[in-house]
Amino acid sequence: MRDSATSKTDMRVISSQAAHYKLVAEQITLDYPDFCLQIKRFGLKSGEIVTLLGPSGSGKSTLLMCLAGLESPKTGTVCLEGSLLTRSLAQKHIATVFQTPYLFKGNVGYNVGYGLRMRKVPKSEIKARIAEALDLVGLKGWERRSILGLSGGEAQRVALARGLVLSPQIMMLDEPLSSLDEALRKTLSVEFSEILRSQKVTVLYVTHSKQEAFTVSDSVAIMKSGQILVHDRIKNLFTDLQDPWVQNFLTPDDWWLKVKKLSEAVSSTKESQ
Amino acid sequence: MNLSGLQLFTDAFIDGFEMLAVGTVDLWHIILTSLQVSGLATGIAVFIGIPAGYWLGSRRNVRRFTALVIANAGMGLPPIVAGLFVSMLLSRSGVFGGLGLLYTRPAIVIVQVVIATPVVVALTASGISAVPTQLRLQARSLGASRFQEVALAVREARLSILGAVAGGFGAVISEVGAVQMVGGNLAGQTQVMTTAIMQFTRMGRFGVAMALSVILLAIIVVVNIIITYEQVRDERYTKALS
Repeated sequence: MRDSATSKTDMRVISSQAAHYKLVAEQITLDYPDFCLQIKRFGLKSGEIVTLLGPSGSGKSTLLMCLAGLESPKTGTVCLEGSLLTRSLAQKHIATVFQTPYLFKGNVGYNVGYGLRMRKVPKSEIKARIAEALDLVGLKGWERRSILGLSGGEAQRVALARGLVLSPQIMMLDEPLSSLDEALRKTLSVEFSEILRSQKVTVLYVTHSKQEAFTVSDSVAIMKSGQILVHDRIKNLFTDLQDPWVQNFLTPDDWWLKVKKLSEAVSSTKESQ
Repeated sequence: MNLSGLQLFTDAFIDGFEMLAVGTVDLWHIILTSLQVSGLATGIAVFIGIPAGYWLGSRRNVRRFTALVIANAGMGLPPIVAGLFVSMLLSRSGVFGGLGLLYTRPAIVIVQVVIATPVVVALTASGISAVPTQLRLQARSLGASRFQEVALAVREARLSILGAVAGGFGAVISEVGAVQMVGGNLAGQTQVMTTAIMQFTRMGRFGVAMALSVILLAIIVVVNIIITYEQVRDERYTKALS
C-alpha cells in the first residue's frame, strides 16, 4: 500500500479481468513464519458478502488485513474501484471489525462516534448517526452506558455499530463472533447477516466456522496455507469439488458421501421427471 | 521516657504557624522557590519523558529493550549520585564550569530533571505498552491519523501517565541531598523546603521546620488527591452505569 495519490502509471497495473470487482487483490504475496500468503486474484463484487473460510493459521486474517489496507503485501496490488488502495482511501471507504472488539475507554456513544469525530463530522449529525447505528444493532438508547459493563455479544454489536455508523462502502469482519459461545454465535450470525444485507454494503467476512460462513455469505473462498483453493457461490460450492482437502474440510468423514449420494439422487429424480 | 518532650511538638506546631502568618522567616518564599524549581523540572522531565516513554512503550525491539533497562535503572538512581555528577559538570573546573551555574536555581532544575526524567519515561513506557497494538489498528481502520492514533494511546494510558507525572514531581519536591549539593541552600535564593527543613532542624528551630514539613506533606497529599480522584473516575468505567 502506498500513501501517495494514485498515478496514471499505477493504474496500468490493474488487469482488465479485475475491473468488475469493487475491491481486488492481485498477485499478492506476503511471507510469514508459518506460511506464505500467495493470492493470484481475489475480489469482492459490489454488494456481495464474501467469506474467507479456513482453519486457523491459513492466512485468512492476513489477507483481510491486506485488503483492509492495514498490512502491506510484499508484492502485488490491492485496488479499490480501479484505484490503488492507499491508507487514506482505505480509511475513507473501509471499516473493519476485529475478533476482539477493542472498545476504547469511555461509553458506548464515545466508541460508536469515534470514526465520525476523526472525520470531523458536525456534532449534531454525530449524535443522530450514533443513535441510528445503535438502533440498527439492537442497542437503542445505549449511548451513555460504560463499555466495561457490556457482555461479549453486546461489545461485538457496539463494534459493528462503530463500523456501520461510517456508512462504509466495504465492511471487513475478522472472526467477529469466534470469542462468543455457540448459541450466541448462531443467533448473532443470522442477525449480523440481516443487518449487513439491509445496509447493502460489500462485506468480507472471515471465519473458521462453516456454519457461520454459510449463514452469512453469498460466496465462500476456502483458504489453506496462505492460498485460496476454491472461491464460489455457496450453491455452486458443493457441485464440483475437485480438491480432496476441500472435500474433507467441507464435509468431513462420511458426510461428504451422504451429500454426494443425496445430490445424485436429487438429480436422477429430476432427470426421470 | 520524657513525656514533657512531647510539648516540643505542640510548641513547634504553634510556633511554625505563627511564623507562616507573621513571617519572621520568609517561609512563603522558600515554599514558592520549591514549587517553581520542582514544577519547572517536572515540566521539562514530562516534555522529554512522555514522548520518550511513548517511543519505548510502543515499539518492541532490542534498542527499545536496552533503553527501557536504562530508564528502569534510572528510576533507582541514587539522587546523591546525580547530585555528584551534576556538581562535577557545573563546578568551576568542570565541563560547564564557565556557565557559572553551580549554586543557582538552574543547577537545582538540572539535577531534578536528571532525577525525574527516568521516572516519567519508565512509568509512561509501562502504561503505553499495556495498550494493545490492535486497539491502535482499530483506531486506524476507523480513520484515525497517525497523530490521532498516538492521542488515543495516550488517552488509554492516561492514568499511568498521570502517575508518571506525579511520580516525577514527588521524587524531586521531596529530594534533599542532590539539591543541597548543587544548590547550596542559599537563603533567599536556592533554599528550598527540604534543604530549609534540614537546616532549621540542625539549628534547633523546630517551629519553622515543622511548618515547612506540614506544607510539604500538604502538597504531596494534594497531588495524591488529584490522582486518586482520576483513578476513581476511571474506575467508574469498569461499572455499568445502567
